[in-house]
Amino acid sequence: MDISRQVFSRSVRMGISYVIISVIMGTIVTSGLNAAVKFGNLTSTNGSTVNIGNALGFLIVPMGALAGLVITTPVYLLFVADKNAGVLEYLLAVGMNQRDLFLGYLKASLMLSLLALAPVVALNLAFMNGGLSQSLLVAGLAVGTGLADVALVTVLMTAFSSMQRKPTGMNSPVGITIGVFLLMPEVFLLVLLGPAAVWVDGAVAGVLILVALGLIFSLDRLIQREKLLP
Amino acid sequence: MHSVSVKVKEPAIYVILGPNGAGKTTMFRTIAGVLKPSRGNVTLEGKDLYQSSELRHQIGYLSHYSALPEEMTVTKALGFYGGIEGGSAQAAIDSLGLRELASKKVSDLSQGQKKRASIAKLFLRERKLYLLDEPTSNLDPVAAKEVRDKLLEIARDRFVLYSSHNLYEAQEIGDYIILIKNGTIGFFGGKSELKAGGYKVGIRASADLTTLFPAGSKEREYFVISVKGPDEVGEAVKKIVKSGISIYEVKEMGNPLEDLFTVTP
Repeated sequence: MDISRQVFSRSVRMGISYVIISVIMGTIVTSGLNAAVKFGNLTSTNGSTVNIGNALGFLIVPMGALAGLVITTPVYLLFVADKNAGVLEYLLAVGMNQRDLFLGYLKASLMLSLLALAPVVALNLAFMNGGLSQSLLVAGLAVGTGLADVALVTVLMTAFSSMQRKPTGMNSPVGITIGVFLLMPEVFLLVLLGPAAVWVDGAVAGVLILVALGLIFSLDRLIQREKLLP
Repeated sequence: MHSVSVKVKEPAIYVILGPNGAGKTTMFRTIAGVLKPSRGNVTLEGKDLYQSSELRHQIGYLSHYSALPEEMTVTKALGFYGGIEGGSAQAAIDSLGLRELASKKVSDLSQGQKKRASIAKLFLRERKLYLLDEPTSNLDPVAAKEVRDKLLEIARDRFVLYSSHNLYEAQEIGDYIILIKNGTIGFFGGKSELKAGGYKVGIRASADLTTLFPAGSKEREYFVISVKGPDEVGEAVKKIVKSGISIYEVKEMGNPLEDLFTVTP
């Protein structure tokens, strides 16, 4: 039994404003930063020109990943609503287990995230700043970081909303807050390191993927069935 | 709950009786495989239910919650489950005569209507075991009877476990009664074996009823008589009316279930 398609379509229907805002956000951020890469020259007081484009180009990675994270908010809200309405309890009773349920919401989050990341990839390849290899690198890092961050946040959201005793879902956004927080070092280090920050981007994506995979494999211990009851 | 051991062998309606907080819902969740028993196991056809998704798929479970996505219409909500666990939304709608609710949003339904729609999801497909946690709460008498009739039909060849805190409902529908007392099974047997506490009914009438019911007693404005069950109330009312006395009110003076939990059946 796979509930990911149902979770995806319900999330899109119920959270259409999140979808529109995130797709616009991904589009504007990628277009704006790519434009800055092309035309962004600063003239210093001594008359020399500094190209800020190379550094700004890599900002697409955390900002694109952020759009990919924001679009998944309806999935987390839906998880809490389904838990409180007894939908998760019923699905457990008819044969699903906690792993099936979690993976259903995770797959839906990743599918939604790809919706917001699609314009990031397409526009990056359209601008082709720094050649094909750099465009592919930036797009790939944005997708990798975004999906890994979403996977991590989905585990955290499930764990946090399951931990609380009051069924109001108040703790569910804590996961998203942590997901946003994890992307921030990429922004700051970019300012400090310039283009060399691509290594930091790669390292952050790698760590996020490893942590997310580790948490997914420990799901049965992290999430007990009784924590999914209303 | 502790030391609970129950074996049901023949298709029938087994009513699980107990006051609020007795552990009926915990027992249902454990049987349904939603909760893991801290000790022991729950088996269906000799196999552990908690471990087997295939066996749990044979269970129909109705909890206290509607478990219907609020944003959907009744048809779509049932179709949502049909898409996940299999079965036909239309068949479920027809099974409880819900056509008038089919196109209504779940969030717009009254509590009773939600309950009916929620019960309908059990009829998406055939199952071996039906677990219904207080299915008639929030239902009007007509809808409650409809549900009970449907369950009586199912119980001819399948197992139905039905929880309630209403002794009269249990006696009406149940073939067997499982009484939960102090977190364990206080009684398990046929309903005829259950010795309920005294059923006291107060009658406010236009004349004294001592001559008709010498064993009765006066309690404030009511004349209180003891009967074995609801059937005897009708007999008593007929007797009073026949004698030309007007009845103003008939009232239950005590909950026999309370007595049941203080005496050993």
